[in-house]
Order: sequence, then structure tokens, then C-alpha cells
Amino acid sequence: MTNHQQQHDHGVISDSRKRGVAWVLIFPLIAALATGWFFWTDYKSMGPEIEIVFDEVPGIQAGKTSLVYRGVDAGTVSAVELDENLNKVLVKVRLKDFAAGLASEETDFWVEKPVITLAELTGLESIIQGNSIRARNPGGAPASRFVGLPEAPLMPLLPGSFTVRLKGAQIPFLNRGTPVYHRGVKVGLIRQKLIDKDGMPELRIMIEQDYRSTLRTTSRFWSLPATSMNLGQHGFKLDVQGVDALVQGALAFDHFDRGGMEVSNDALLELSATEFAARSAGRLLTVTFDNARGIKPGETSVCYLGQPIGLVESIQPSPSSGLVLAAVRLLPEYDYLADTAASFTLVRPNISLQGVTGLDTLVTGVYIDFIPGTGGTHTDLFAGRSVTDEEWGRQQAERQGLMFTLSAENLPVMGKGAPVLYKGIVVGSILEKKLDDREKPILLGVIHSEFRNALDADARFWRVPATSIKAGPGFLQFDVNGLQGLLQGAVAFDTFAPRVKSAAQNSQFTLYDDESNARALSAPIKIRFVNGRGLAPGRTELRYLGVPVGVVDAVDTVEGQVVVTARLNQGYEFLRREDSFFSIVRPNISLQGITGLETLISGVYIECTPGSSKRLSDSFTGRTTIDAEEILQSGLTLNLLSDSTPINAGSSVYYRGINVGRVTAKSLSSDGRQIMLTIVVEKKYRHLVRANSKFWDSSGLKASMGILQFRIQTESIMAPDGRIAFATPDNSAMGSSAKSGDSFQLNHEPRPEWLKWNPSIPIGD
Amino acid sequence: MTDHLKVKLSRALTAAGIILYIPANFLPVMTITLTGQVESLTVMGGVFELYETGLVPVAAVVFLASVVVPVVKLVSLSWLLGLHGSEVNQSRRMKVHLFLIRIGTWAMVDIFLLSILVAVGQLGILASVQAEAGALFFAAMIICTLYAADIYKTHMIWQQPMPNST
Repeated sequence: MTNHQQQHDHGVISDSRKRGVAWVLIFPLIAALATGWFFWTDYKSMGPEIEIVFDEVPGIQAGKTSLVYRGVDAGTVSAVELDENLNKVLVKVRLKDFAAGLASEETDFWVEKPVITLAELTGLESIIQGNSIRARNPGGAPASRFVGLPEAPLMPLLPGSFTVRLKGAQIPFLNRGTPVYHRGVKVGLIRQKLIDKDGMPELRIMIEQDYRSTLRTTSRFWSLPATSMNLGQHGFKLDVQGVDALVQGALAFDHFDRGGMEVSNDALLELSATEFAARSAGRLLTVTFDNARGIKPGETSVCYLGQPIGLVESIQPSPSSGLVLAAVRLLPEYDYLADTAASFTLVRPNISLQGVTGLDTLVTGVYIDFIPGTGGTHTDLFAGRSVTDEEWGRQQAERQGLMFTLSAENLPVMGKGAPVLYKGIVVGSILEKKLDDREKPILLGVIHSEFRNALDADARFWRVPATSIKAGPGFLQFDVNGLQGLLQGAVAFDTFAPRVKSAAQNSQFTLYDDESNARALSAPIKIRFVNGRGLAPGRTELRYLGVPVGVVDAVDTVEGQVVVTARLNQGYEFLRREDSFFSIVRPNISLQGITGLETLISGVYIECTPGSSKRLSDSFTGRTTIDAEEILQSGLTLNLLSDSTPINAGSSVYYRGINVGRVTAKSLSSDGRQIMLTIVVEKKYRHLVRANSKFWDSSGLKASMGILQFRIQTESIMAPDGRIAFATPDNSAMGSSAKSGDSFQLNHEPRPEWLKWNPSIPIGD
Repeated sequence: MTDHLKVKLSRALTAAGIILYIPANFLPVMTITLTGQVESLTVMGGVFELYETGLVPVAAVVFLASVVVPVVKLVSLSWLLGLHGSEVNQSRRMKVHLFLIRIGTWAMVDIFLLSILVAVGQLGILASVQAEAGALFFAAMIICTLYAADIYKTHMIWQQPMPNST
């Protein structure tokens, strides 16, 4: 290479080198530009760094945790530090450029973490994606230091919700997150539950903007019970408002179409305990009571015609007046009824062993009955009255039913509320038991209006005892009239005859002890008996031709005689004729026959035989058909003497085979040498016994054997006690009539000629 | 293309590689979202991550391929190209150059790894892997070094230096 060439070459090379250099520099240039551009955009995308103070930041990690706004990654946590006191956590967040607006005063920041409770299930994505810091509601002047919310807000994306405050005496079972319903539509949430500065609980409620118009100044809130139980005639009813409400309850509000204007934000509204309380928003009335026992504010209702139309709002004793002031609100639509003539009556339930009246008041508690006025001037102050349910029931019954009064000598086991029965149907009830002016017990009763025709002016009442045990010879009766009857007894009535006219209001009746007495309509008759054995008052019947026609009311002894007071049923007045006679029928069993066998089972009864006289009587002398003592007593008493005899007292005395008397006693004679039998011969047969009459023992089986005859006297088989027979000589030899106390010899056997005697003696008194 | 141009091009690519090396290592190459935990990893961060997970051999390979090799290549290339035309250590430079070409392919291990991860690691909300800008820079850097080493031929080490203007 020459120098020239070198020079030349040098120039060429130099050219080519310069050209090459310019071309290849594009690579580092692109690299530098790309790098620079990238770092520049990266820098540009960095927004401001903000600092948020939290109490705790579980799961927040520097460099990893994002700040999420509306689901968009708006920044990254750059540092997590504790403050110098170790009380707070400082979280530094590098915002992205587009999210720089979040660094403004009003932005809320909170740590989003999963909340899993029965009532609430939020932040599910945090379980998978980890906790994050969330922001909402930016606005206001730029800021770089924030205080984070302690917990996630309920509606992160609805910062502009409309808030109202609720005040109530107490707000149980309601909590943050509890839904608020308007006519079944969920329109909001409880945002906060707090105690205000007056110490009253307060709820902050958020209503979605869309539903703002549903809330008016007249709206009232009430808490929906999670479950409501209804126990009534229609059975058991359980309402569950849905599972979420079951857990956390719910609030509802309504304005009940009462007009009103839209409420302003943060307005203060009232919370009622129940829907009914919320509805009862009428005028505030004050009702005074002497005693407000049983009234529960917010629960005791005011009833009009049995329908609740109002509620006791509060109750306050007033020491100055000695009264209790109850603040009452009616449903607004009934407000006009509360005028000066209106009355309020506190009705209490009555619970006693004798029965429970007003079972509904037992469940619902007392209530206040409201009787509207008839258009007086409006007033706000009323004087209330208190009555028990029964009194109230009586007052009500007076309006509707047929009242009657029963008087009686005494009234055991007969309570208020005892049923009044008519043919076994409860047609009324006993309202009151008290003493009348003459200190006799009376019962006030009522027949329900639908049965008022059943009570005739001639009706007769009797007591149906709660339990009754009647015992007598041959019967035992045990009555239980149902459980209610067992507790309080009952009253029954019947007319026992075609009804004539219905009873008037407040009629007076007599209460009989039992049905038999009530049936026996006429005045009692008195029958005298020698012996009252087997007679049971109230049980022993009077029978005519075997049919019961009356009943024995009482058995007393008067002057050594038994006086039976008896009543005859209606229709048997003819038995009162003065020559009627009455006899006690008792069972009689002997070898001669069995009579009155039915009395073994039914007890004795009195058989009535009507007379023929036209005159009636109240007093009779009765007789005993089988026990002839009364008859015998008026008879002829004789003494029979014998050395020895098997005959005992009770043996019969026969004349020609006819029973005419009886052996009443067997004893030793006064000198002790003989046996003395005392016999009584019936009065009408007394003349058969003459001074020369012969008595012999005809009892036993006697066989007399002769050559041509074999005779057995079998008559005595009928009389195991033995029997005495006598014969009187023919008229010429009979002698004078025997007198009481005469003595005769008792022979062992008759002489044949005695049997042939055939005197003619008139029989009778 | 003259050898001279090749040298120039090689030098330019090396320079571009050095420039790209910075964002390639400072920017995250990938973002792993594992159960919501978002993690952006740089190359070095990835190595640490692997190491901390206990995958020491893999970490070593990745470290060698992604960190050591590019540095070695860039440094070596700079050394080679800087000494181009001189007669110093010519035989050693030749060995280094041959070594560079041999290890050159390994440098892409990280990118392969990343592309597999991105392709496979899409498990929806549970886990996802996304390539980030750093990977682009890293790939570009590797490509630059690859071409730089390839364009600069071994025989050029032995070329006489150009008679520069004194």
C-alpha cells in the first residue's frame, strides 16, 4: 500500500466507517429510548403516596396488597409500619396515577376482610384473594393522611344513601346490617346502633335513594319479630319472616296512607315496638285509672267491640292525684270516637279455681274496653274504670242476654261463671254470687241471647252438684258432672211443662237443691208413719201404680212419729185428696212369699193410693203394708202361758188358717214357772178371742198315727218360727170378749172338738 | 458486510444490550397471582423465590442462565470488542468468544421458563402468571447479546487493527 493509496484508502475507509457508525447506532438508541420511555411511563403512572392509619391491618403486606376502588386495582401498599406508640398501624399506599383522586379528604379507607356470621356474609373474595384495602367516596380537598374505618361499610358503593335516625325506648334484636322493609320490599339497612347523648338507643338507618320517596314524615317504624307465635282457637300458628330475619330480625316502616311529606336526610323518626303500635298514631289521650295493675305500656290494647283499635303507650302514676295516667293512642281513623261521652274500662281476667273466664285475656293480658261517645265534644282526658272480666262480662251480658236472679237457702260449691244448663246444653252462666238485702244468697245469671226463649216464666232451677254421692238402702249413686262442673257446679233449669211465656228480663227464680225437688211443683205434703226405716230424703220416691210421682223431701221425727215431707210432681194433684193413703213398701221375704222385691234394689218407696174425696189435704197418715205394727199396736194384747214352747216372738197367730195376729214377745211368767208369750191380735179380729177360746201350738211337723189314718199337718212348714192357732167355742159357750192383758193357756195340741167349733162372730171394729 | 461493519454492529448491539440490561433487571419479568397475593418478580426476585421455595438446583440454573450468563456475556463482549484489533490475549479472547457462543443459547432459559409458566399457570382466580415488561427487555437484551456474539466472528480477533488516523 502506497502512502497515496493509504491516503486514499484512508479517506474511503474513513467514509465508510462514518456511514457504518451512523447506521448501527440505531440499536443502542432504540434500546435507550425504549428503556427511557418505559421508566418514564412507569414513573408517570405512579400517583401520590398516601398514609392511612388503622387500628389493625390483618393480612396487609407491603408490596403485595392492593388498594381496590370499585374493584379496580388503584394502588399498592408500599409500607406497613407501626407508629411510635405501637398503638396504630401506618399503611403507606402508592396510588396509581389514575386513582390520584382518591387522595382526597372525604375518602373512606377500610380493610376488607371476610365476615362470616349467621347474619352477614361479606368479603367472600377476600378469603381467596386475601385481604385488601378498599376505598370509597372520594371527594374534597387533596389529602395524604387518612384514618381508616374500623370496619367495612355496609354499602360500599352507595355513599349517597339517605339516612334517617330512629329513636325508641329500647331496640332489641336489631343490629348493624338488619334489613329495613317497606311493604315487604327491602329498601335499606341499619347502619349503626348507638346510644345517643341522652342515653337513649338510636338507630341510624340507610334507605336507598331509589326508595327515598317511600319514607314520609308520617311514617312509623316498627321491628318485625323474627318469629311470631299465634295461639288461638284456630290452632297454633308460627310465622317465620325468612331465615335472615330469623337471625337478625328486621325493621319495617309504613305511612299507612296518612299523607305526609318526604323526610329530610338525617331526620329523626320514631320506632314502635309492633306494627299495631306503629299504626296507633292517633291523638294522645290520657285515661286515668285508680289502679293500673296489669296494664303494660305498648302491649295493652284498647278494644272497641272486641277489636283492638288503640294501644296504651305509656303509663305513669301521678302521686298528686292518686291516679295512674295512661297515655293512649287510638288508630287515627277512630280518633273521632273519643269524645266526652266515651268511656274506657279496664277489663281484667279472672282466674280462680272455679274457672277461668276470659281465657283470651289470660294470654293477651288485660285490655281496655272502649265505648265510644255519641258525638260530644272532643276531649283528651278520660276517667277510666276498672272491672274484672266478669263484671265486664255481666255488663256486656246485660246488653245482650237475659238476666235472672236465683235465690236459695245456701249455695255450696257454686262459683262465678258456673254454667247454666238447659237439657244438658250450656245456655248461660252464673255471673255473680252475692247476698241480697235479707242476707240470703242469690245468684245472678244470664241466659245467652240465642237461648233466651228457653227460659220460661215458670221455669224451675235446680243445682247440679259438682259431685254427689247418694247412698241408701239398695242404692249408691255417684255423679260427676264434668270437670267444669266438678270445680264450680252448675245450675240447670227446665219448665217440665209446655212453655207458656218467656221469662222477662231480671226475673226471680228459686234454686232447688236438685232436679227432683224442682220437678215437684206443688207444696209439700206431710205423711206420718210409725216407722221411717229405709226412708231417704231426696231419694225415696212416691209411686202411684208403680210410677214415680214424687219424692221424699225430708224425714223428721215429730212426737214419736216419723213425719215424711214429700212433693208430688205436676199432674198428680189428685193424690192429695184427703182420704188418699200412703204406705211404705219394704221388701219382705218370708216363706209365705216375697213381696216388694224391687225395693231390695231401689230402696223402699211410698205407694200412693188416691182417695175419692173432693177435698185436698196436706197432711196424711201413712201405713206400712207388711210391717203391721201400727195395726197391731191398736190390737188386742194377750198373754199365753205354757210350760215350754218352741214358738218365738214373730210367730203368727191364726184363726181358721187366717193370720190375725202375732207373737210380739216371749218371756218368763212373773212367777218364773211358765213361759209367757205376748200376742197381739189385730184390732178387727179382737172379737174372735173370747174368754173360752183355746190356744194351741200348731207349728212343727206333726204326725199322728192311728190304725186307720196317717195324717201330717203340713201347714206349719210355712212357719218355721212356729205358729199359734186358736179356736172359740160356739156362740153359746164362747163367753165374753177377751180384754187386753187376759191370759190363756197355750196347749200343745188341739183337742179334736176344738176344731169343730164354728161360732158366728162379727168381724170389725 | 465488511468485517469492519460487523465489528461496529456488534459493538452497537452490545451497547444496546447493556442499556437493556437495566430495565430487564429492575422491572418485573412476571406477576404471579397466587390466591389473591399479587407478586411481581424481577429476574433476581424470581431466583430468590425459587431458592426460598427450596428449589435450589432450579434456582441455581436460573441464576446462572439469567443473571450470570448475561452479565458474563455483556462483560466479555465488551472486553472482546474493546480489544478488537489489538494483539493482547488473542488466543484467550478466542477461547472466551467460543465459550460465549456456546453458552449463548442458555441465556434464553429464563424466557422459556416464563413462557411455560404463563401458558400453564392460568388457574383462574386461584393462580395466574403474567409476563411483564421486564421480560420483554430481558428477551431483547438476550437477543442483542446473541447477535453481538454471533456477528463478531472468531477470526476477527486475529485481524490486524485498522490503521487509524494517528
